[in-house]
Amino acid sequence: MPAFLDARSVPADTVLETDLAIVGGGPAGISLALALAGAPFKVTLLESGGLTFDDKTQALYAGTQTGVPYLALNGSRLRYFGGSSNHWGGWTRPLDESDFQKRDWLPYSGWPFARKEIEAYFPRAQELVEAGPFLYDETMVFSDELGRTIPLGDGGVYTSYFQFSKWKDNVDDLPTHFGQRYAEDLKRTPNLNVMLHANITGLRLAPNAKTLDHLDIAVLGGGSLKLKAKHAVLACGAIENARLLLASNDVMKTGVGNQNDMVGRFFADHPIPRDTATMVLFDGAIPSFYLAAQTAHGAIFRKTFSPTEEFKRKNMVLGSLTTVENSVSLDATGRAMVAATADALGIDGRNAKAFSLGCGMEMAPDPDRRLTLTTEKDALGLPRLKLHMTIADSDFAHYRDTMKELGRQLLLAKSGLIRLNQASRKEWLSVMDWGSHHLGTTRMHADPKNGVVDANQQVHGVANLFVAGSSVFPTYGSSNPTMNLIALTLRLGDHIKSLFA
Amino acid sequence: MSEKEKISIPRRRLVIGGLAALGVGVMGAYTLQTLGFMYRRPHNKQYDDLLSLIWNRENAERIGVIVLDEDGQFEPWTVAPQLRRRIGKRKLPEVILEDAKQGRLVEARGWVIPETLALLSALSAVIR
Ligand SMILES: Cc1cc2nc3c(=O)[nH]c(=O)nc-3n(C[C@H](O)[C@H](O)[C@H](O)COP(=O)(O)OP(=O)(O)OC[C@H]3O[C@@H](n4cnc5c(N)ncnc54)[C@H](O)[C@@H]3O)c2cc1C
Repeated sequence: MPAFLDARSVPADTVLETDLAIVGGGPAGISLALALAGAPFKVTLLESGGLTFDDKTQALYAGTQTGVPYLALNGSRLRYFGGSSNHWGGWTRPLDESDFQKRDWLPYSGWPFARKEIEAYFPRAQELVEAGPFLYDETMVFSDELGRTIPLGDGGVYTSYFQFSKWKDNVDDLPTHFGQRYAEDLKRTPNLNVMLHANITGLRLAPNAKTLDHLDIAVLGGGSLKLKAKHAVLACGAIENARLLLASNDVMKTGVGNQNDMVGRFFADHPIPRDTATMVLFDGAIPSFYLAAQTAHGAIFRKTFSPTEEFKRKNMVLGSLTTVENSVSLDATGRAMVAATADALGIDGRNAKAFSLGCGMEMAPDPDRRLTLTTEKDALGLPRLKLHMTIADSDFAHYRDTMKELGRQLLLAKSGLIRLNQASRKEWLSVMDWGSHHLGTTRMHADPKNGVVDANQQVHGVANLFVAGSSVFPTYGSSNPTMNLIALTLRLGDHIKSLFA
Repeated sequence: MSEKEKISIPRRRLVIGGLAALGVGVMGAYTLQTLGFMYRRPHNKQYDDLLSLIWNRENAERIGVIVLDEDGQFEPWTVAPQLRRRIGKRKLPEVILEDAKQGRLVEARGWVIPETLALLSALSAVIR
């Protein structure tokens, strides 16, 4: 079985050739390479890192930040084969239909197509993340085996389900690390070469700026190569995809695909504030599927709370997924609230227990939340990035509205009540954490004025350059991105096959 | 009460159903300052029918103080008849469920509670 190539052992200044170059060996790049296995054209996957973590390669990811405190740019992703799947959490859930729709109340919302356009790719994406059968909210059909569902009265919040990537069939095992998991499959793929330690530092356009001519490859410690490719796909993650486009500014002075100043804008993540609310259950009984992932029917599940499509539409709120985290004790006020509410409902609240809730929230698109190049350069001479991070008060307010509705439904079902723990912006920011789900920096839009790539993920104006990954998500939803970005990448795979047909 | 006597009190943070809908007036309303002496009012039989719906006065008063603090304007003589009309001959749990159904909820120090419970609690804090 052929080994992977190592760019460090290729003589300097060599010009390589391929039909399709895939830049980046994370879940997107690897899924695309697997999808193109056996295709009648040559594919080369270029990966910056090696098979394991290396400080010097990781340092290429460093950048600076302004605005709302956010994760360090070199801390929330990994730069070696397998990418950030080497430390992802494996939480998996498809996007909702409304995530794709234009919402009049939400500026910049909407994908160029509906969810059904990628639905056909979900089963294979689900296989690649190894999250078991594609069930999610269909899990309701065997909900008894998943333990009791906390009763909620009719309303805008429902019990939703996460599934989990599982490398091996055990809850305690790691989620799928794409590099390790698929290395042998990739080696067995006859039309594919994988080259490690190959850092792409430039996307070199033809003089007419309408096609990509070649890629510059740099090796840490010295040496550079060129790769001429008929087509290329950037799959470096949402931060690095934007960086490469912006930094490749020799032919197009503002950067590749940046003729309308869109590259790097609309960066997003999923805020995951802690202790957003306290949920009290009068009977004190919390089914285990809420507190931790559990196995059933060949998959690992965890129950969460989500706003229904109707609630989102009617109340103009963004998506969210609320998790039950841990039990907490109540102060005297809390105990009085619980006792008085149970009494007023005519039920026994003496066994009541309280639980802290956490969540993953959707952010509203914001063009000012953006990546720009700085004058500082990395070890390969590529300008480093600055991220300006923002979060709107309305993003918190949307989530609060959903939690109020959950509280209303708990009362209606006589099952419990809720306390909203964060009110002011200061309070929200004090409990803030982030999902490390980088999104949106090369957004997809049919109109080049409003997006970087078109509905086929082709960079507007550059016929043979494509972008894969969650950087193309124009609106983000609250579901974790990886399975969704893989489905989208598989669709891109079909498009690429059609270009070579 | 003249405008001068009023103190500035933060408006309630959340009233889904709206205390205002129950006629919690603005003009002539009691403010927190006036509540100080109201707290020490002798027992007032006028509200016994409503207060008897409360199981635990200590809990209710604790909640009531928070509700008043967040609303700041509360007239027992306006609220009581409206509460009586709302409750009628029904049992309290039925009314509480109706609050939840209709979204008549109040946020008191973050706790999302039925409006009727909040108002009874406020009454309990005001009328000793
Ligand atoms: C701590 C953490 C937890 C997460 N948990 C979840 C979760 O539970 N569920 C979920 O859905 N998602 C999760 N994610 C997000 C998930 O990891 C990403 O969505 C996913 O890895 C993105 O895949 P990608 O291939 O687009 O990019 P990446 O994984 O970032 O891969 C990009 C690849 O490109 C390579 N590369 C970068 N620059 C260059 C260059 N110039 N030249 C050549 N190669 C380059 C990198 O080395 C890397 O291998 C998590 C992320 C983190 C950090």
